[in-house]
Amino acid sequence: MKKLNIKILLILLTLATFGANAQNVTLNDSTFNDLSGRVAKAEGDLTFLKKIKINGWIQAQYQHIDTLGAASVAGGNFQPFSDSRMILRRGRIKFTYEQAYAQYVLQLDVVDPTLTPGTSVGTSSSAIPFAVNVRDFYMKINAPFWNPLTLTVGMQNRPFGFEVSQSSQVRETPERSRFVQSLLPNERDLGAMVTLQAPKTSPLHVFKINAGIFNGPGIAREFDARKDFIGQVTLNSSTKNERIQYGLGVSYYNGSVLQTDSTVYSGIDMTNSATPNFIANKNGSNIGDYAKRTYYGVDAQVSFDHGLGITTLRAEYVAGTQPGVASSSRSSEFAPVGKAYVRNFNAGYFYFIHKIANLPFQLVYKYDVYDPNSKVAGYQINSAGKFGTGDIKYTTNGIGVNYLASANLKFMFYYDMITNETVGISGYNYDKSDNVFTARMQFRF
Amino acid sequence: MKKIILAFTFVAAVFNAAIAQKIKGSDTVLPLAQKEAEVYMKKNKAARITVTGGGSGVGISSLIDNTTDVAMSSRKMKLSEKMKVNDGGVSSAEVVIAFDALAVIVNPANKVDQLTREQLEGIYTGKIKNWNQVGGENTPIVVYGRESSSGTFDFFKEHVLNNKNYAASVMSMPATGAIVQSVSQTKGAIGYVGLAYVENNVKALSVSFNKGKNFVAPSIATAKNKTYPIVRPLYFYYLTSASKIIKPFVDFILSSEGQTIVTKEGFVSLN
Repeated sequence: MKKLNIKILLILLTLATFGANAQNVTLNDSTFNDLSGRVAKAEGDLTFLKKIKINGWIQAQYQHIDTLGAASVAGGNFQPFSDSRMILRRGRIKFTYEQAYAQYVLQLDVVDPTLTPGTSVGTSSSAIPFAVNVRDFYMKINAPFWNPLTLTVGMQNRPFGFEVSQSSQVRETPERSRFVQSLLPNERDLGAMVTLQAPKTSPLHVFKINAGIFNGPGIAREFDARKDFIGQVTLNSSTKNERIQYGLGVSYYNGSVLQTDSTVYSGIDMTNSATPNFIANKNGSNIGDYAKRTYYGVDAQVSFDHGLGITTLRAEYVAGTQPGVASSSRSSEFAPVGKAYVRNFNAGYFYFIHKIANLPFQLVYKYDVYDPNSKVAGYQINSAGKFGTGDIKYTTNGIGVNYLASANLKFMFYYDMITNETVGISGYNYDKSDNVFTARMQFRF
Repeated sequence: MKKIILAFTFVAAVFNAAIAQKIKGSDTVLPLAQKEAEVYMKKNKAARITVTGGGSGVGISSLIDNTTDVAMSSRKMKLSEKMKVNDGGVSSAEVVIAFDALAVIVNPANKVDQLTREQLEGIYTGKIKNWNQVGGENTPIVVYGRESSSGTFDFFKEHVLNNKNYAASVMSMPATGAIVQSVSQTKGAIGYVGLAYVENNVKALSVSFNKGKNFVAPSIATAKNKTYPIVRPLYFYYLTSASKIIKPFVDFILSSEGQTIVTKEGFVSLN
């Protein structure tokens, strides 16, 4: 009996190993009907499940900054007595349901909200206040009567520039540029956007037009009566031999921000260029009026496939007018409190990325600059002229290596070298020591 | 003894799994890859190769998603696709396994035997709507093409239509076989398929790429001597990290025996 069992086991294992050969099976009608019914049900279930897509990613990282408690946009300010930390930068999960003419998207982010750049942090020893935030929450409708037209309504990426809408899971650097974090914090906003793009069969498919009306304060509640317009035209194509891929885009933001104070600083008196002054407009009618928020952007991307791998160059330039307060030019997510400062800014970035041929390594260099007040520089920026820390220019050079371990796993080693403009404001009359090293592990599915 | 036998069986199972290969993609390459796999598996009993179609785009997407070992393609991999492969820390290898002559087919009852490139462009862009405009009977032209995920769709657009847009009236078919079937059943129909798909129930037209000076019929011979103008390479793409598993089969296709199968199946061999 024991020998028989061994023989049976061997036969079964051999069949499992080398695959069962065709067998003659007699099926009667009821068996066939039963099986076909089951297959039909399974196919129906599968069709439904194929409409649902779930993906996500988690980023855990170690960071070190030059000075205890330094302010940083590389994942948020450090605690007052800390110059290194382990943090969970992002924990995302995205659900997408697709059917013929519609798409439903919900993306959740598990994050420590105190790490939001610009947020002040206390010394509390309480537990990390992880919060689940909604990042994307929108519906996308393809017009059934005209294929090129799409309407997207809800919380979505603002159609401005390239870096805003580039997912953090594929970005080659830990964070977006300083100006992107300042002008369009959290990237998203609540609004309605139409997209025009010809079908793939058309030569005009390379062009895409986005235009939308948005609240303005990003993922926060709307606090004023005016809506902002954002428009963008992009071109994406490649050469016939598929060796070069390129993209171009122009973007325009036309919005406004509510003023809650009778004093508004806008123009700059340059009569004495050594000691310029922000001109104060003091008028009761300023309260309830609106300051202009206007951005003009241009971006370009090109990738070359050559013997040494694939090299990508990417650049973006933005200029315009940004309302803020004395200490910050960051777009406000709530009704501004205090005197308004309306500044002319310019900003930009440049990326060099090289994926080494046949090796799972990617080399990265990034330069980004944000000058929130392009009319004054250096020691022209001082308290006497009513300037503040919101006028200081920042330049960042970053270098890094990404180890692309698999389709799911990525390791990033990146060093940000940050230079602040030396100005006539206490604490900023020298270049602060705030370079940041980041070692990140990312898993995505 | 029992333990030894079980261990042997387990090792055999693991080995068997290691040499199983999934090949997916171009419907044009499908019959060739199936035949090559069939012969290869007869010679290598341990090999397990499954070949499925779906289109070049589907095959390459599956390679990116890691749900296939080899992507069959009738077009070159796009740089954006290559970059997605690279995102996974791996590189892809490209191998041309054969060439294919793309035949323009009509219903056998159609009296038209030849068309110029310009006439084909007119038909597929919607400017020419009746066969009497190109020397045929007074019959409306029913135009069939492939879906946009197909490499053949891209190739035909690029090389025959000079990158002009397909007319909205062109009926997109999910597979090459569906084009052959539709053309064989519709008197005024026209379509394009790989030469290997041309059967007696459809008629392959001679084409001219020099404004009607001379017309050439599609065949292996005319493709080889380069007189037939609509010829394209057929590709295998696989991850270099999996080359140990894939290469024996690729080497077989590139061997003289594999290339003989290429010719027998109606494709153009490399040599």
